[in-house]
Amino acid sequence: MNPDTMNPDKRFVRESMIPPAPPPRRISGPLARIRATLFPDLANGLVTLAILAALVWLVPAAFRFLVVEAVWTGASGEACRPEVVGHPVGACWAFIGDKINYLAYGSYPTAERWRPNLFFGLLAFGVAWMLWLGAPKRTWGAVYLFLVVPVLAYVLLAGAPALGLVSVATALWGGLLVTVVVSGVGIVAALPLGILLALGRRSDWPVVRILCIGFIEFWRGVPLITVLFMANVMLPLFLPGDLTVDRLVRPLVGIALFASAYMAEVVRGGLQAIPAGQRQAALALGLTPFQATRAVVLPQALKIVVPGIVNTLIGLFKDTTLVAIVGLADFVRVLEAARADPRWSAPAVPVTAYVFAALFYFAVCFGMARYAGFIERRLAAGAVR
Amino acid sequence: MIPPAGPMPAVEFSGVHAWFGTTHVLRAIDLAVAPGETVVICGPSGSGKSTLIRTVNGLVAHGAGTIRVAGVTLDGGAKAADAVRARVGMVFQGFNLFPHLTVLENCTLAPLHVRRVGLAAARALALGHLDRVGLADLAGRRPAELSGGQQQRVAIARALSLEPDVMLLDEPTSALDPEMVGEVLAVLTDLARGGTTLLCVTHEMGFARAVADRVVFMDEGQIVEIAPPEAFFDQPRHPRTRAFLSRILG
Repeated sequence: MNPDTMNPDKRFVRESMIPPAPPPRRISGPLARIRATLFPDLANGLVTLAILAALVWLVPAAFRFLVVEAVWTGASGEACRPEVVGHPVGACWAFIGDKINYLAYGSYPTAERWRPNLFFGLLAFGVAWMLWLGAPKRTWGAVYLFLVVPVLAYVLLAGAPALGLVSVATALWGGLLVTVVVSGVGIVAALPLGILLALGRRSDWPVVRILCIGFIEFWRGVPLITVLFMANVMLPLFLPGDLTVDRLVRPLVGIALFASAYMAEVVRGGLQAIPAGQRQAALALGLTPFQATRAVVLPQALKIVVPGIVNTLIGLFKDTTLVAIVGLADFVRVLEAARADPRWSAPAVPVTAYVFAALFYFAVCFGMARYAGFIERRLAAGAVR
Repeated sequence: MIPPAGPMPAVEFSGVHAWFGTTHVLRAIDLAVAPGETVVICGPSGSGKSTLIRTVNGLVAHGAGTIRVAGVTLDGGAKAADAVRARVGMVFQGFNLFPHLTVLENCTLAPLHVRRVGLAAARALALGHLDRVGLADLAGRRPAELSGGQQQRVAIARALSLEPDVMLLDEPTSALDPEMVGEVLAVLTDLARGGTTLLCVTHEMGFARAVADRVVFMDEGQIVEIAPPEAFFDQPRHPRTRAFLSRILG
């Protein structure tokens, strides 16, 4: 304490400036950090202890179920019965191993399974190209992923007799293949369509605005299951008799439009967060309204709503399981079918099937969330304050 | 001093009115700004001065009368507005730099998309203007990393990258910390002396006195007095002008 600065009657002039010093140990260092995060006070300390106790109870149990007591090999349900094995049985991974091809391709003909494999490879290459921010020529990556892959996928999967590829009816598609196709098309369609709808909803033209509002509110106002039933049952009634739409395409269109309505509202939130001055400044520079939107407003708006976009995409990915209701054999549906196989009747099998489904969906959704987190941190690093 | 009625004014208002809803914000504006002239517009808040300069590049649409900028008549159509905006630079009170772009990218946007010069030419042009405002060494930074004064100088360089016939300045120093006002005014003074046509809304009366060719005083949406700076400050004629000057000069 400096008596001169504390004394209201005394004039003070500093004689030498104080150099910066490191903080005391109490408020920095690893021990202090652990203390501050886990045991800052009594209530927080108790919560920490409770969580630790729960982990001590849950983690070994999960490990025992998933690994220690799990059955890894076997050709039928017998291998997963406790009375046969002689100890309690956890997960029956032998069942997953036996059915893995069915889970991946459904009833896609065995001889033609190189085609879904090639499709998965092409898709993975495109996704990696887009997600790896340092990749060269990412514009071409987008063209490849959003234009080339869909066309190739259609030719590959549905077949093109002219090219020597046998036609494979969509009724035979199943498992991971259907889940990837449905969610992939949904994502590829929902994002651009959602952006257009969000821009349309803010348009100066009343007709465009009203059409977009009507579209968005209609799709947000009906449950997805209703949409799928409508697409499956009603759509053929509205179309001319000689025009049939594939039973895979019908729910696809429904899901894409449904997701785009949600995406539109997410994007609109971002557009509203951009100050009017940004658009004015862009217009004042001579940019057309379209250029101002594309180069100035949209990039900033989309950056703000990355969490919302990923949230919508995760929801969309999980919603694809509902296509089972209109008879498509998505990943969960084929798991259901596989576990009903009498050859694999054992108490451990249904549990294993659902645990596997949970792990699969969790891995994909958690991956999306983590990637979004990485993107957010990168964008935040680019714009200080 | 350049007479306001030259062969072709850079900006010409005749009988201009504007409304926000039912509020009559600009009333019977007649004003001609000669090429190379510096006109400072001042007046109490709500007097319509910002609205006036925003009608010049069509950010605010006027409801009646004629505005001609560099020979183009603003008729409310997008084509005329685009043509005018390509030749008119604007600097805002709140800078309005694009935070997702670097300083250099802020300044190359108009050359690339509006004037359609190549990337190399746009960069050279932008760096030239950044150098003019003394910030060429910060070209790779983001706006958020700059001080307010630096941001406003970048905004000036960005507007200059259009190579505009007319510069509109909407209270360019009002949002700045006092210690940064000087650096921005120095750049503006340099512009005015260099022959750029400036239409500047400002409360910096020292700047107006030193740099303006004419000072326009507005109140209640109309022009109340126009005078060269010496006459405006030393012998204001209209009672409202006198009242305003006595309020802000103390």
